Amino acid sequence: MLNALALGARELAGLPTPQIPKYQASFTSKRLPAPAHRRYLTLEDEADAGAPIRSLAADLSSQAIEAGRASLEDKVPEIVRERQLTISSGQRSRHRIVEVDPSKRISVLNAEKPTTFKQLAAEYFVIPFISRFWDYLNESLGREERALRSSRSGGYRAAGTGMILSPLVLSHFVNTMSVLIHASRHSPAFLSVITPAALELCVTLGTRRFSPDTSTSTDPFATEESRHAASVLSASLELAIVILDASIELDRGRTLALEHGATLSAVMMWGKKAFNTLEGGIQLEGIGGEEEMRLRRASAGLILKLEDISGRWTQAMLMPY
Amino acid sequence: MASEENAVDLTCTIMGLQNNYDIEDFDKYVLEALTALVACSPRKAAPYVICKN
Repeated sequence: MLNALALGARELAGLPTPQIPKYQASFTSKRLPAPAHRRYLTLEDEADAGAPIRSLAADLSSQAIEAGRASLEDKVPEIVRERQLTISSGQRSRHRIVEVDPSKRISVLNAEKPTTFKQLAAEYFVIPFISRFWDYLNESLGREERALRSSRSGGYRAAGTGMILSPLVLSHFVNTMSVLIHASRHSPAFLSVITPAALELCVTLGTRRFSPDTSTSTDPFATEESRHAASVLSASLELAIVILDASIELDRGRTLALEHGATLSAVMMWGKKAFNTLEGGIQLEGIGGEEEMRLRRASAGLILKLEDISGRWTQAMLMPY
Repeated sequence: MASEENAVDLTCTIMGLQNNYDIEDFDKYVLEALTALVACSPRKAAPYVICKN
């Protein structure tokens, strides 16, 4: 359902949608019989249903970071001089012929849709999405709290309460949010309504642990859950990058800094804490390999975006930094 | 293209489908159908999908 929301929003906004890859076994000569093959593939596909949206969200934050890097490079005299003195590689990059990907061509029909999605994004997609999550979170936490109080043995945890709050689903939720936010950045309500609400969600998800305590669990899949824990933080950081990049692109972060200074300050504190923690060598639970690279890149990218906004509006914000 | 008055019922039906006959790429077809509904009837389908999520 989250995939359908994200892809539908992209299509409505006239943006290219990723193709859902069909799993192909590398050793086709060693496949299982057809019914068993389909059964085991189905389980793996379900476990990785969020991969297209996750890669799309990572691409969006990468584009945002690269855009900021390109604009900042023009301000550093050493880099400008180096670029001017570079002959062959510079010319090659300027005149490089790039093949147009047919899947990214915007059709005539889709060209009319960005206007439609701009009007719908806040009212029918983003704000209901955020509100629904807050309602669900409040209900779940209230239910568990009541169960803890009423039970002597440590509390009854219903099988379904932790579903959306498990790290795997939560990271998919945040990645979907990134795609929706990126598609709605031209909405009239983006700066005043969508940005502060989404940033608040970002900071909350990136600083709290929602899944039930698995330290005493004998469930063999508990280690799998812990491996996805760091993905929630990296997804939250990437969401913040997408939001701040859009805010900078629209009005250089003015509305965010002047009208929602408290929210921006919270993001600053969260971003600096995450960056310092990672740079200090402390490893988060479940981190390693590609996820660690993604996390470090996202935390550094968020710091850059925050510096870009605070450098212009710190004096006007009247908030401690 | 589904009309908006049928969009909610159609979304509800598609979300409740089960792969009882072991159809290949069933999940992919369901995703494409829901994506088309969200793109074509966003005022009805999108809030319903969010509410049932």
